[in-house]
Amino acid sequence: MGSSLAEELIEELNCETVFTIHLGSVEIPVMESVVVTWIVMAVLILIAIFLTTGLKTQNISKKQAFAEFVYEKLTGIVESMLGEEGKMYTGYLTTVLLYIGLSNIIGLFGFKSPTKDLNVTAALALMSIVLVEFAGIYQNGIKKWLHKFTEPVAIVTPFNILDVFTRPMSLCMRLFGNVLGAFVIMELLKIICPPVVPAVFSLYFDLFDGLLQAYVFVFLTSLYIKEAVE
Amino acid sequence: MINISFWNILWTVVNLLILFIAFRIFFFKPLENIIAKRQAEANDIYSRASAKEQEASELKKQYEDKLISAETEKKQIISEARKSADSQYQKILADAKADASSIKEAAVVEANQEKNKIIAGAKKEIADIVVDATTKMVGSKTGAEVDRELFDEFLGKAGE
Repeated sequence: MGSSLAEELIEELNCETVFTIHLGSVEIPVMESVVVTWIVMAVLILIAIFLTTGLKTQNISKKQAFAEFVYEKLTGIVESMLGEEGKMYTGYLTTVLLYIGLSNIIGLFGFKSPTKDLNVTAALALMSIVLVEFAGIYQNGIKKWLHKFTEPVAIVTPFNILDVFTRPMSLCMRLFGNVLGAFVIMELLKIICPPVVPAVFSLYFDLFDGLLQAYVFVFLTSLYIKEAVE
Repeated sequence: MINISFWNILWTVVNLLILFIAFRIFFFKPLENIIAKRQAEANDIYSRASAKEQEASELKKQYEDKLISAETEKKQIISEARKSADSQYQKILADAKADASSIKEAAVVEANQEKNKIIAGAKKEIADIVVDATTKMVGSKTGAEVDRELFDEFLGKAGE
C-alpha cells in the first residue's frame, strides 16, 4: 500500500513529455505542463473574446457590464499595488494573475496544474525579475539603477545584488511549493478518507489557496516593481 | 518533477508573452477604448449641456432687459400721452372760455344796441306823438318845429 501510494504520487507529479517537435537536428520536447498551459490560454482568450464582442458605449448588455466590472476590478487591484509610476505594467501582471489563478484551479477539471511544474513557476519568476529590473532601468536610467544597489548604505550592496537572484527564486519556489504541497495533501486525503472530507478541503487547497497564491505572486512582483520605479 | 528543462521554460515564456499580447488585443484594449469613448461622450454631453445653459441664461438676461426697457417705454408713453392730453384739455378749456366770453360780449353789445334802438325808437315815437299832439293843439307847423327841437332837448336832458 505504502509503495503504491508513493508510486501514484510520483506518477501524478511527473511531468511527461507529450510529444517532441523535430526542427532539423534540434529536438524540442513539449511537456504536459505546456499543453495544459495552451488549454488555459485558449480558455482565457476565448472568454476574453466572448466578453469583448459587441461592445457599446450606451445601453450596454449584461455581458459587457460583467466584462467591464471584471476589467475594472482586476486592473484596479493590480494598479493599486503598482502605484502611479508602475501603471504601465498593469496589463502584464493582470494577465499573470489570471493565468496563475486558472492554472492553479484547473486541477479541479482533471488536468495537471502547469504551476505544479517547477519549470513553469521558474519561467514566471524569471519574467517577473526581468520585468522588475527592466522597470528599474527604464524609470531611473542605468546609472541610478546601479546606484540603487548601494542604497541605503554601501555595505548592503552584496545583499542587494543577491536580491536579484533570491527574489525570483523565492517567487518560483513559493508558488511551486504551495501548489505541490496542496496537491500532495489532497491526494493523501483522497486515499485515506474518501469521499466527503476531501471535498471540503478541496475548497481550501484547490480553490482558495490556488487563487491566493496567484494573488501573492502578483502582489510580490508588483511590490518589487514599485520599489524599483520609486 | 524537479528537473529543470530549458525548453519547458522557453515554452512557458513564449506562452506567457503570447497570452499577454492576446489579452492586450482581445481584453484590455477593447474595454479601455470603450470606457474612454464613453467618458468622451459623457464629457461631450456635459459640455454641450453647460453651453446650452449659458445660452439660456444669456437669453433670459436679454429678455429681462427687454422687459425692463418695455416697462420704461410704456411709462414714458403714458406720461407723454398724459401730458399731451392735459395740454389739449387746457387748450380746449381756454378756447371754450374765450368763446364763451366773446359770445357773452357779443350778446351784451347786441342787447345794448337793441336797447338803444328800442329807446331811440320809443323816443322818436314819443316825440312824434308829442309833436302831433302839440301841432293839433297849436295848429302852426313852424312853431311846432321849434317846439319839437325844444322838446328833444328837454328829453335829452331828462334822459341823462
